Amino acid sequence: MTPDEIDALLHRIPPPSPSPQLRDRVLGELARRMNPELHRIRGSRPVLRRTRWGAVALAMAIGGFAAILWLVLPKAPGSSPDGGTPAEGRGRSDGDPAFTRKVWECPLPDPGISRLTLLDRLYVEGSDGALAALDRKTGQAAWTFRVDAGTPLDAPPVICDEVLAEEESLEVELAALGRKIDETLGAKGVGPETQALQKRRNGVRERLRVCKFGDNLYVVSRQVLYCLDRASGALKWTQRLSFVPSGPPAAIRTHLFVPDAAAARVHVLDVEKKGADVVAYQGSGAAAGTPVLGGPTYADPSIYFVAPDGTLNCFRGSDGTLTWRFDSEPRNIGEPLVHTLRALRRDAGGALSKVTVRLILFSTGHTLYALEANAGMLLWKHDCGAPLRGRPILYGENAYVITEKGVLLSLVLLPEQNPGALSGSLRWTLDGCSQILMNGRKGLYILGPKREILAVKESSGEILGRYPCASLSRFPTNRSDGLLYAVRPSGTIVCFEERD
Amino acid sequence: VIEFKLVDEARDLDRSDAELLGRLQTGDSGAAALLYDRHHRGLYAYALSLLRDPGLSEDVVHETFLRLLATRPERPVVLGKSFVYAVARNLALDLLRGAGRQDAHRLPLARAAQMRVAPAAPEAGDEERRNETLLSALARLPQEQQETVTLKVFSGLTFAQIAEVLSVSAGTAASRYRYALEKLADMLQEGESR
Repeated sequence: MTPDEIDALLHRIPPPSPSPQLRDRVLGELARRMNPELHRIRGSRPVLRRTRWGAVALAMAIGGFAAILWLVLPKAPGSSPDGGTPAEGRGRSDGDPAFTRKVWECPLPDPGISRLTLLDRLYVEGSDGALAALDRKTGQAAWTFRVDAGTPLDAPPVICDEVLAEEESLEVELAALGRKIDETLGAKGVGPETQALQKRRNGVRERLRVCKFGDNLYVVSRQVLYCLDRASGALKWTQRLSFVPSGPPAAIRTHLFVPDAAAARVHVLDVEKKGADVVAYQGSGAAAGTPVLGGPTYADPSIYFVAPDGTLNCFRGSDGTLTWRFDSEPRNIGEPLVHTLRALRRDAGGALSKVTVRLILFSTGHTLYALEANAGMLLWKHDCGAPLRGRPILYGENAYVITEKGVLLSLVLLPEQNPGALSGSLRWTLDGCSQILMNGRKGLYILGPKREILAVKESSGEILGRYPCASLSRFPTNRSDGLLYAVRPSGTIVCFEERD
Repeated sequence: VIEFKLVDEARDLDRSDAELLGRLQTGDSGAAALLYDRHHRGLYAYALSLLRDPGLSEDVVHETFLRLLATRPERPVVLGKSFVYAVARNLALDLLRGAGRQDAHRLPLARAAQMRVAPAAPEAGDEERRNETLLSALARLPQEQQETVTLKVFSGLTFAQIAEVLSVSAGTAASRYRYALEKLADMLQEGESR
């Protein structure tokens, strides 16, 4: 055969084609990115076609409306953007809590917002499977995404904290190495020392690049797992799960741990294999039909998972070996929370020493348990009088839990005295609470029963103030910075900070 | 109205890739669909020839279009088609460098291609068998020759465009293609003589 014949033959071979679904995937993603950010969360709502005359009419209407507002509304003192001392009413609307000052407001005129989740960003879920990522400090929309079927998300989105922390430290290291290379080049020129530094920098860059493979955000909707790039929101892959997950997954850079609703096991999915189910870690005990709230929790190198029969299982994350188990009752199983506590304690001789304990807190029935997480040793347990609502919130060396009866309990995480008593050290209790909102400068802010926010003195549980908030809803609990997020009835998301 | 639409569509088909890219960057979804329909097969075939993994190749096609959208509109794209393929090439090479996939996930091109074209039936005719042999031989060529052949045959690029994608001269691209055909002819000859 001659080369020309080969050429003719090659041209007769039909080219390979991608799957037909790829067209929808690509064009859908492009359409999503082309539309203005704020319209994306509206999902299927059609974007109005604008004409030139329509735009002129709209501009005139907005201008007229603004002029009327300017004439009608009272002028709040300090309402100019001069950054001066805030006056009463500044940066607040009627109905906003009086202790707050508005930081930003994001008008998403879609009343279908179903949940706010605070992670690295503020994630806003729509009831139609839309997800928007907003910057926590500015409210700017970073990206939006909508699941194919338009079904709501089963659980809040999940990111891998470990990867975020690693990325941050690598970027700091990279910047430091860059500065050092510049200094060395300036002082000594090109030589072995500079080359060694450059080699080290290449190594750090490579680690950073590998790290970004696992920098994902995961959501589950109707048994389909979606993996998005955390930074850009681009869809990386989807995986139809062969089981019904009972809660959100726990994510590490390379794997996902997803709880199975039908059995006492955790499925391990490989992130690099697009979520392929590679193995399942079987916990002890059988599925007793008790709903398991929340998913597993990962704390290097272990996975903690409460089985439906109330057994807390600790697996070695790398191979699924059951390291230890702790039996409790199969009732109202709460989500485990792992926390490393560093505190100063007096030893037997009275001298102060630094103590580092990895604690795991979880609840079944009315009881809150605190265990040493490496060995599974029970440190203390506390009868809270009713099942707990959500997982414990930790601030400093104290844990806060709210029961189904609306009682807030403050407990010492690591009781100093009588550690063998196996009883939690209760600091104070407060009735009429439904959610912990944040830990502010003046104390804890708690959502009360009558659409009001209670400011509570952290040391004693004394109520310092009551602030009506009837027009706000869907508060996420803020465990880090002192910002309060909520949704207005119009669908606007608002961020407040505590006033001085 | 229908007539106007038809005229518009016909005009769209004549538009150059550079013009469509410009429209894509300004948020024209019609241009996006046209570009996709024009290039998805060629891009997929090219990505598949580099990655040997159908899933990853689809990812590259997907990401290529997203990158095209993200290209700064103030920087006009004059190269059009070769620019699109250069973006795909960079993405595929990034993936290859990334996870050491060169060896771990490589499928023979023939098999990978057939995963999307049609499964090899036992009663496949002479033409299918010959195609498979040819694709298997193509997969054994050096990478630069494989790339040149794929871009020329499956993606329909001219030698000048291939040269822009691969950052070589047009003469080099043409001679790589010629060498590849000669080598393929030799390989098939050897196969037949066995």
